[in-house]
Amino acid sequence: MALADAPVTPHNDYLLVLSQLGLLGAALFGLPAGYVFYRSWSRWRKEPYAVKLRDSKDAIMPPQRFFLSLGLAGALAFALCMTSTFVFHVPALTLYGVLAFGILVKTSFNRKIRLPEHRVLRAGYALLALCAGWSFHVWGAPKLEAQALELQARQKLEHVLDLRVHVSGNTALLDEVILLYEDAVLADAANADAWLGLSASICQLYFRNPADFERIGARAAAAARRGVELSPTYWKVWAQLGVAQSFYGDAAAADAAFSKALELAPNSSNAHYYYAAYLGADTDRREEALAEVRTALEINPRNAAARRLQQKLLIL
Amino acid sequence: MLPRFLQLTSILLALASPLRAADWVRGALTLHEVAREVVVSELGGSATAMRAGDAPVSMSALVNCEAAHGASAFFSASNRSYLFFEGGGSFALERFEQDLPDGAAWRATGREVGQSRTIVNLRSGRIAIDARNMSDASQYLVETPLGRITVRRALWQMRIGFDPRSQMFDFTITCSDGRVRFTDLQGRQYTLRTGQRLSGAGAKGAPSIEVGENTARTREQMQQFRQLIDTHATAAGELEAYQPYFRVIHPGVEVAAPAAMPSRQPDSGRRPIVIEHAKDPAPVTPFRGEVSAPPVPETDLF
Repeated sequence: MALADAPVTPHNDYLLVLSQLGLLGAALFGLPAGYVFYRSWSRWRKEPYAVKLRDSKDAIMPPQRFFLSLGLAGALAFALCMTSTFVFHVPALTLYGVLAFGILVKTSFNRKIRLPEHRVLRAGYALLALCAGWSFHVWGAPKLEAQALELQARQKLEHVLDLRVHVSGNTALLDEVILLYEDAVLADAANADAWLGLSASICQLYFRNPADFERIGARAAAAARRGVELSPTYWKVWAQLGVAQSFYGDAAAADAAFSKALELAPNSSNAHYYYAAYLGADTDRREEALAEVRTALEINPRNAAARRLQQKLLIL
Repeated sequence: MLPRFLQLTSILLALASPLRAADWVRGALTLHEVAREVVVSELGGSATAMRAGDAPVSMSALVNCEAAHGASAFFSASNRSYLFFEGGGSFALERFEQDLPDGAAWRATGREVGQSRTIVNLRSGRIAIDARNMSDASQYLVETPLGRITVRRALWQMRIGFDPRSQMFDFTITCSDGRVRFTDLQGRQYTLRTGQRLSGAGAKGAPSIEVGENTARTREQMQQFRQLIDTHATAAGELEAYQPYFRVIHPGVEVAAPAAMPSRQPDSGRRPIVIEHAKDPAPVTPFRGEVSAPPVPETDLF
């Protein structure tokens, strides 16, 4: 699940780590880093600002102080960014932080333990590294592949929906999206976003043959239910379960799922929109639907689907 | 006597209600004229290339029509509307339901009896629509990449041009008779009256729009459309051409009349609630890398 999709985020990496790992986790995360900072700062202060060259009148900054300055500046900038956004959770940006932190560790500590250098031991290190790499590949590769497939499928689905190809266009495009999602869940059956997307794309098959709504709805609901099992506190899977149940025609189950999504994400524009779309189908609850869609538009005035729904409800 | 009369009336009304609901049918189209070649495919069906010799031909209303530059097609619909399409581009009739036309009433008047609901999706190209003979209770919507057009008894046309390189749209809406309302993607509404023209250009989300008077070119195009209507008015007025393609619709569920559709249990009592998929809002902070959108040839296959 992407952080950007989370309904409530502190926009602060420290608070995020604290909320995710608790006090003990935050301490295990923060104390070593704080100790490295302390050592670096102490060492940086002890280093002279400039040293004179032996056979020259000029003075230069000692290399140790230069690298410490570089590492401290980089690490502090990264630490400052972590107070206002999720840089720690963006892999490409985390690499910069790791680089600065690595410079600090390298320049602040002297290596005291020397690893044995026997030929057999060297082969052992290589074997250990190989095993570690292979384990990461076996464990991580399917997850990364599933994420990549899900992202690709999601963007294609949005494009297909944007151009309304699913309604009356080349049927192969939607089929391709469904295949991508199926590949994603095959690669990693624990990816809730992939199950969610699979359910959403199956729902679009309704426009190809409305008479087959029960079979399509049941299939979409099964995929969404799998997402709910995997991530029961993720509002989007509940909302998608509501959409799937709506297509299936089970109004009571849809109502319950949408209510749960709203409970989990009361500040999400789309959660309000989906509930409004569901309520709008019931003539007696149209006023409720209008109130919900107004809330959706107050939260996100650029929600095009909610805007269209509001126009439709006002016309009706 | 009076209570018995009221009782009888209410029973008759109660009996009439389900009959009324069952009277809704999916409408039909007749293709009267083709210039060069257009590709027509019915919903869920295979595409058929139509040439001048193939017309006239009637078909079920849910169709997708593609035409290259210079190719065009002229249709009449069973709700007494006319549609002319000129490529390059495509349009689709996504929804077309109407009251089952009664033969005697159909022949007695040249106007639509009852009501209909029509949704057309225009991707690009030029479309001209004559909805003047439709009833006041009918709805006619045209969905475009730039917004929605609501028509009530109007003669009008729209042209959409799209440059895939710059992703820029260039469009014009012309109203020759009646009133046309255009709602853009931001929710802004523009109402065009007889003789007015709306033109716009720019990106999909925020094109620059201006309203002016019809040009000589658009007047000429509308004149040609009127001539086509006059030429084919007699053929378009034959109910028998449409009747084999009507499909009865029960509330919420369509029952196939002539064509085979997958079987379902009509007694399940369930009715689908169709909910449009909403895109995720743009993230405040990028979390993962974004892959580029599908290439234009792939996305432009609509």
